[in-house]
Amino acid sequence: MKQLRLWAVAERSPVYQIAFACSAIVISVALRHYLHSALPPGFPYVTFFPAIILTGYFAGTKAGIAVAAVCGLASWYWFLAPENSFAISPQIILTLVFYLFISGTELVLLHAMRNALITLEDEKNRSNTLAQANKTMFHELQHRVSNNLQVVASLLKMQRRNVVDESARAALDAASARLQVVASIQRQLHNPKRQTTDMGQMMRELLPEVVSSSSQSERFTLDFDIEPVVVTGDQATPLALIIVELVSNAVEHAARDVGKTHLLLTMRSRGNEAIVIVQDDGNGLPPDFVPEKSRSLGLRVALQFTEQLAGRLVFETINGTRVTLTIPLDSDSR
Amino acid sequence: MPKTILVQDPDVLISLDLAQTVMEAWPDASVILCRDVPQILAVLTNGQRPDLLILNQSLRSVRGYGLTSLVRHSRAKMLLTGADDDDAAEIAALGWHALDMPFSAAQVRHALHDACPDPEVRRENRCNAIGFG
Repeated sequence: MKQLRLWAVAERSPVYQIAFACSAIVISVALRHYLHSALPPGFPYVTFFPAIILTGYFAGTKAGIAVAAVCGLASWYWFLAPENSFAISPQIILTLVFYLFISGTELVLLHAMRNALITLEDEKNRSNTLAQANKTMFHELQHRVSNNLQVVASLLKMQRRNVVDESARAALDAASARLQVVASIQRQLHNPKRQTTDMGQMMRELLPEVVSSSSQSERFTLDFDIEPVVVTGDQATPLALIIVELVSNAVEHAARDVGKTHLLLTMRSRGNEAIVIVQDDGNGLPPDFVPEKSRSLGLRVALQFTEQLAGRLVFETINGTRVTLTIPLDSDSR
Repeated sequence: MPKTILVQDPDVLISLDLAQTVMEAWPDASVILCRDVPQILAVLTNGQRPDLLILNQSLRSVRGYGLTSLVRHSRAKMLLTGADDDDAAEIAALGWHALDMPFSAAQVRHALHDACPDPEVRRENRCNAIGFG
């Protein structure tokens, strides 16, 4: 079908058009002669109409007109009584007018169809070119952003190598980790194949790296109980950063003195709300813990982003520490 | 046997960071830094045989510069930091590796280990043989 369409819109050389038209005339006239004795009276144009249609389609309107004219004369001379003459009678005139009307209608329709197909093909090519340009531009942008983020990441790493103070090293590690999170989100969010983001899947890919980059990683096991939570691009970055901060915070503070601490991330999408629970089985929160008064940068980031998302962040001591984040989902993501 | 690693990135900071990460993984390694592809070609055609090339190039540009045959001829491994996501399968089919930017030191170490498995990876850095290509 696609090949048929391409044949119809292909540019044909004059030689091709003449050759196609001549072949169509010879074959249709010869076939009409061959069938003459077998056909009942009243079918003078039976082989000529297909010849006109095929020529109009495959060789263009001009070639189709030429075939219609020559075949009209041929049928008048050989196949309209009296045969072998160009005799004129009211009946012959009526037959010729009928032939002109039918072949003219065929050619007009074919011409319109060919023009529509050519326009369609042009539009399609233009769309493909635009899509390709868009893709190239996206890749270029993606590379530039990634390169710039890499420069910052490299700077932080090199700075870290020259720092001996453990708290300074930890701060640079945390900054590097946050940068990785932002970069990972940026890469996933700006993937042209993706309109929305399944935060559950993203966290599965991201959090093992966050935990393993910590010096405490040996003391933790990380598990997931995740259902797909689909969010929009606007929600994805703050939500991802909140979850990363909560998990980083747990890794920093929840480690038990003996044995491994178990971290569990639960994600659910309920109606128009997303629920995220970060649970650890560590020592629990200090008795006087008030999140808003915490000096932890990570916690402040989490609280600010929760406010931005119009959500709620609840800290509880239940079998360790449980932090529950509830945010409304944008209608676009549902 | 000490490894020779070629690192190419137009950004000096990134290539120095990569070089340092390589030296942390393989303290005896020699690292050749290149800014661009002509420098890589000069290194490869001057008879140097790196064990691993870490290039900030896409698969298309690697092919376009004719690096594929040079690298295959020397049986070196390749780690691309500028590859397109769409080329992941083709890169894997060539036996090469890719690393998305920005990468952490842990990710680089992991990729180095994948590209050149070495049971004697040491953490201590005793060598600073970084040269410019």
